[in-house]
Amino acid sequence: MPVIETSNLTKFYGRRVGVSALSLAIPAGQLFGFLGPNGAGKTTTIRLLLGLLRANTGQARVLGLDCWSASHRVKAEIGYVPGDLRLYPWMTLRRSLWLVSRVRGRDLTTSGANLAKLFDLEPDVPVRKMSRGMKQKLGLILAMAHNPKLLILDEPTTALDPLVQYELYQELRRRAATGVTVFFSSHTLSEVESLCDRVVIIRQGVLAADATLAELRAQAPREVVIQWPDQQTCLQQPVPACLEISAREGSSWKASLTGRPQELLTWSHNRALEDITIGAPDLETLFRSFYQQSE
Amino acid sequence: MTIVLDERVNSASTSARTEMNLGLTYKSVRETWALTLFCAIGVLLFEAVISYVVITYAPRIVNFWKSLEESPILEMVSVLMGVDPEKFGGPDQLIALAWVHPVILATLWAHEITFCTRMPAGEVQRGTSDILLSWPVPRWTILVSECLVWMCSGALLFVMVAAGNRVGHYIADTDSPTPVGHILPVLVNFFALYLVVGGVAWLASVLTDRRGRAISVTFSVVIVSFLINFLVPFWKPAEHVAFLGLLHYYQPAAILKQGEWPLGNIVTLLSAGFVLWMASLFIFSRRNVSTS
Repeated sequence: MPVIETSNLTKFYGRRVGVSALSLAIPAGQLFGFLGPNGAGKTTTIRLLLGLLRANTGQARVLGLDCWSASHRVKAEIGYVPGDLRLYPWMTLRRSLWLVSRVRGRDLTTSGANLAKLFDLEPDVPVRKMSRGMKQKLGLILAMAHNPKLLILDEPTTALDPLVQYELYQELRRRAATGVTVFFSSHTLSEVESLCDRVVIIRQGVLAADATLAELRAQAPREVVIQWPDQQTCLQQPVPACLEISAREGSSWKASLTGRPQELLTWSHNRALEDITIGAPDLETLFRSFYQQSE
Repeated sequence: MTIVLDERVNSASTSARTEMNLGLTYKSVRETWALTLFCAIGVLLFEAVISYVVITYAPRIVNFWKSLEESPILEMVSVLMGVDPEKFGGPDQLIALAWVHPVILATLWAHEITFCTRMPAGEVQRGTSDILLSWPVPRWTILVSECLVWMCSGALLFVMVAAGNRVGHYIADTDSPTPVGHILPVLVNFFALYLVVGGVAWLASVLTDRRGRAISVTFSVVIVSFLINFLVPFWKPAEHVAFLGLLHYYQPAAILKQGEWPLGNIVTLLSAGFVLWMASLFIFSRRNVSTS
């Protein structure tokens, strides 16, 4: 059974589309990246999963339970960090763990203290005196202290320094290995690329792509630099079908590989090349193309 | 596999339900204790002073009112207290002035409007509703917990008003203080009125995402309601809508004069408060909540 399952999930804000006919199935233990530009519908989807919004049509289920009618039961197994995290100003780590323990009906002080150690957060600093990064750490601790089966993180690395980001990624990988599902929403490709197994791209509320990172890398263009012995040779050489030249600089070509690498290697076999460099798959360009299709 | 997982979710949420009120109640008290304490001290001191003044200077006050004769001010005082001031029997009825003084009313309304618009309007506006509503607690439980703290805070304020009244009597060293049996119906009637205003504030709060808007709406409703009461003596057509005026159901001087429980008024106010509160609960349980 998928941990998250949506079918034709649709939400309108008046005439504006929040999400439209979104169908997803996310199994347990997956590090799931949810990508899209600002206003694409990421937060709307999350709010529908948490039962904060009611879908116009379609359905969302978490752990087999309806996200609207059984919202409070669903949330017992969810840890959530909002994109724009706002905490009560009087909260400290210690007070908030006490409070959330009472609300959730289980003692979270030990697990919370362990996470605080991991993220290096002092227990008695009130939120009103915390930096943005400290607030983010507190939000993460409160989301993870009850060891939820599903973590919904909406741009969770905002304001975190690289060291804490690294610790967070490690913790998320460790939890995913034990069967916890991580729903990681972001508009930054690099962090999704470094963490997630599978990526969904949403734009204007509609699913634009749903693939594993390996599949996306196979689709992504690669930058190719070919160095010729001299400028004349450079100008005379015919361009193969698998390349799209972006610049000719002196005796070199800069191009995008539009076909398979083997095609390029076969073509280059009997050519008088000085050097050839094939770059790593450029996911940024691929993602940009997904985003730009909507504009 | 499905059944096992669902049972586990059920048991987790059930265990949360048994203790959640404590956490939510703590949160509510933590956020409002300073406001309640400030208002409690305020009403205690003011009620003590106004009670002392009314008891000590009762004859002068009555003479002053008599000198006003047909003045509109006399009509307004009459509306506030629920009986013609010229017909007072003595300080034991005049003390009703201390139960309807605008400062006392304003403090109590300010307390509850501030309290009741914190959640959900205030929480949505400042964005903390994302955290609050991500906890495994039904929305109705959140509202019930908030309302319980509100009613307890309100009850404390009314105890302080009564205590201030007693302190005023004590300082004035009167021979015949108002019997507690006469004060109790006034207090209960007054508290029922407090619940209605709170009901309006809760309803305004669940209908909007902006706290300022909820405060404005509640304040406007209370002001319009008072205006209706004050218009009635001066403008005949207003008599048709007199039942919409809150002071129509709270007349402390009449209670003190007759010494009877105003059961009709209390039941009307409690019913109105209950309907408003249930409507708030219904709407809050079903509305979309979005901070962005």
